[in-house]
Amino acid sequence: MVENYNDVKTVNTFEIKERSYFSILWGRFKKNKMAVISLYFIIFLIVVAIVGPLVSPYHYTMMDYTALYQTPNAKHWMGTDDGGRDLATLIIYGLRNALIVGFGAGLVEVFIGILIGAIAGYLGGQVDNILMRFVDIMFALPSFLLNLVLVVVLGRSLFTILLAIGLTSWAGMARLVRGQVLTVKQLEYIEAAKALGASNLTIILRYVIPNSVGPIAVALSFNIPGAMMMESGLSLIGLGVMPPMPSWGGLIAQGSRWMLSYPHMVLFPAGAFALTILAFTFVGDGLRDAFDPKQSD
Amino acid sequence: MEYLLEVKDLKTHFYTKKGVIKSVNGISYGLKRGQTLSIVGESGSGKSVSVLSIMRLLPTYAKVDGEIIFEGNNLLNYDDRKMKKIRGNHISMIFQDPMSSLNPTVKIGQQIMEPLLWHHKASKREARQKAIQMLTEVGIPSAKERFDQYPFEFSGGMRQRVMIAMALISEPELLIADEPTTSLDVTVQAQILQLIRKIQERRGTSVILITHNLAVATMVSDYIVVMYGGRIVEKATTKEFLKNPLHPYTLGLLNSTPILKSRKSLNPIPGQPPDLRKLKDVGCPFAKRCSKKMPRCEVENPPEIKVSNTHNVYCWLYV
Amino acid sequence: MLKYVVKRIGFIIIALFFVSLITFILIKSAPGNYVETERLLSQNVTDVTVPPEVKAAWEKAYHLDKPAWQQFLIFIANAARFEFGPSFQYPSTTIEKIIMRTFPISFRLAVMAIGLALIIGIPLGIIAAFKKDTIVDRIAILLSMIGTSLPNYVMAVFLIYILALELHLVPSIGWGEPKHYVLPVLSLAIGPIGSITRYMRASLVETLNREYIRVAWAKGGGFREVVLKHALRNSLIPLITVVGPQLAYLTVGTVFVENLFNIPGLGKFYATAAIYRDYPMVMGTTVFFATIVMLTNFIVDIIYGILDPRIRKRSMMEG
Repeated sequence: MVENYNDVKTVNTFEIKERSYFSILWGRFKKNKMAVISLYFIIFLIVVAIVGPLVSPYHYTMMDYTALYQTPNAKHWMGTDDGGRDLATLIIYGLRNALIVGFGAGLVEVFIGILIGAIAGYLGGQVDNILMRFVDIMFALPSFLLNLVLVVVLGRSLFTILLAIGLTSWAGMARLVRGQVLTVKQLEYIEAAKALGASNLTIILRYVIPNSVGPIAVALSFNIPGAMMMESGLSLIGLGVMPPMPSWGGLIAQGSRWMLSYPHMVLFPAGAFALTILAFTFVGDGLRDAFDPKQSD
Repeated sequence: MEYLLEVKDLKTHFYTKKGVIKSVNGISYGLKRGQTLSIVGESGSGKSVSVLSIMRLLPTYAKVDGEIIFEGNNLLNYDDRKMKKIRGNHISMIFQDPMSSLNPTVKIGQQIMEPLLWHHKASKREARQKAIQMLTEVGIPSAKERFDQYPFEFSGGMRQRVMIAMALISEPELLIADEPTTSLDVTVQAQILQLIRKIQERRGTSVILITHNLAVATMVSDYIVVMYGGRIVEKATTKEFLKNPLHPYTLGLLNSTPILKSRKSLNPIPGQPPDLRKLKDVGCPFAKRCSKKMPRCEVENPPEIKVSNTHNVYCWLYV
Repeated sequence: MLKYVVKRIGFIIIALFFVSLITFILIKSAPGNYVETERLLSQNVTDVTVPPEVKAAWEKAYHLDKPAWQQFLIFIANAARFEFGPSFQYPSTTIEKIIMRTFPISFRLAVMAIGLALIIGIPLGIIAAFKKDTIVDRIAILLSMIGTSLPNYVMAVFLIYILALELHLVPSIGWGEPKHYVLPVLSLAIGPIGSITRYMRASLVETLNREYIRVAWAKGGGFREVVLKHALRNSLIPLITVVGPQLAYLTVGTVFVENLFNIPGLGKFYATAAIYRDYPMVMGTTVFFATIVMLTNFIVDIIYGILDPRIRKRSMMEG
């Protein structure tokens, strides 16, 4: 069956190397117990966000005027809201939307960040100068301001919100990638690769990006919850996804109006939101420790 | 003759997670008024810890035992409040690295005045005058202007002069200098040592000098204590020390130090300084590196041999 | 220093120009017609056709009759004099008047929150640093981590529930009396408390290990002299660089809290303007907020430069 013994052998050693790198990372990550618990919690949330809408007997548009403001019970695990909608279902859809926006905005941000950072770092000179001044400006501004304007202009669908958040939060990523490019550029084997005729694109794809995976992952693990908070914040002030599509921020805003009589309406979404954000933050901490053991104390 | 400071069977042990580190393990010496005593040893010999024990500037996980008799009182019986009155007032200290010994955001003059102000020994105006006078005394030109400058405006040698001024402003009976010249240029080293010597003579201050450099010790001190692995291996007046060095470690140190005008070739001591965590309580700490090692050296503590009233050596060779 | 100031002001002007330009282009490319939107949304009239002369008057009032580049230049020229003209929602008043009336409320909230954060965060950080690696420290770190990661509106929900609904300490709703400030200010303060605690702890732990702190102990200083005068001083100066951006972001962060608590601050008006597509108001407030954020950061950096003697003196020497 084995036709070329040598080939098999090289493939094997390569795999062993890869695995050992990730097992080292995992080993460091595992030391942080909160991070591990949080990671499992996030996986659980993702499963809930996918499976929840399929198995729930309710839908976020289903109003039931015979069951308004119900506190948690057997039929409605987290109670109902002022429209008699099942709160658990609303929160699950809110979770799904938050995750979509969080990961989606993260993706947009990584894409733009790598693009701008790599171009600036690689070309250097005047291009770098102009791009980095632009990054400085983006950095000096609270991203919320441009976000709000973008949402007003682009509209308020899940996708446009995701896009708006991604478009306003890439500055840190661009700086990070540029720094990595500058570091990698100086390495000797890059000089060698260049001498052997590797193109700029090859070098960026083969060397810069793999080298930046760690810092990017760490940055992302803090920016994903950041994007979720932005989405919720926009919903909270009435600029998020259009109702009746639920969002955690919208649920919090709506629930807070009924807080005096029905605190469950705000405590469940706020609690779910807080736990989710904390889980991402703890995972971020764990990732930072794993990728850069020196930095943590 | 009266001792200003008598250290008796001093033990300083650090209780760390990785075990007990016996940095100082039963040392005794005496320092007379107006004299200079040098403690010589490699890094890790416990020489610095021994003086930090006197000042009680050790982390909480350090335990200090024995007696430290200063002007007739055992400092180890003092509580924090009483120790505070001793530090910077009766006993002052100069540290190794003048670059990091001064607070970068506080004016030089302010830092020099502090011992006087903190011990309520002078009003702010008097303290200022005294500080400027001290700056002049340690050889800093245009002291008045320098008073209002910040540490980054001073060179390393100048900063060590500032440290000396700061240590001596309250006219302490005892000055402890922990490797005061190690991080300085060679030419500046000599100046600083001369300065310490000069001021000491003028004021009659007693000095403990911590150094790894035997040449420095023989140049400035009246009495020399050689430490190794947390214990004293030999102590003697400088004269006796130079005339009749006995302990194999002392001999090794002398052979590896360019001293006086001898044209002997330099021979470093073979081996590594000991790991204090692995050092046993019994036996001579130097045994592992000693060329004249006998079987009993590893299993029995070396006896104290009195060569003279002022010369002791701890070694089985001289029984 | 002067060179630096000029450079920074230049950057701020350029940045503000870009912000205005981007905002302007975005809003110009928004779907729908200014006047149509205003008519539809702000007055809830859907089926009445506006007479052409009224429409023309409106367009004239908002400079919509001129080409886009002229509109932009008019906006810039007016914005530089803090004039933004009338808004769509409130045609009878000007945007700058709305800002002048509502921004002080937001700013007061932010300043109070930062003040509270300093009062709580600094001692908490000091305690954590001194109790390093104990349970007190762990709890402080965990709390500050939760405080910094959760958005202020989630904090607000929990605070309302605990302080207003369960403990009945403060009212959950209402505006106008001092007691109504409690919950919004607390919600805004928790994030900065976390950051300040973390910063103070890390900075103090590092500073307390510095050589000049040991020197200060050796000079006879106690907690007051060593920790409060020497260590804290060096931690507090850079604290400004932590607090400055916090204050800047907090002025914008009030948007959420104001909406949740129904406080008539600029943030509330900003959000409402965005919901109703009140373009002039959105544009004016965006530029205003951007200016405030950048000015705050700029002022903070200047103060930092003045307080740190190393930066101040060096920049003076460079001219």
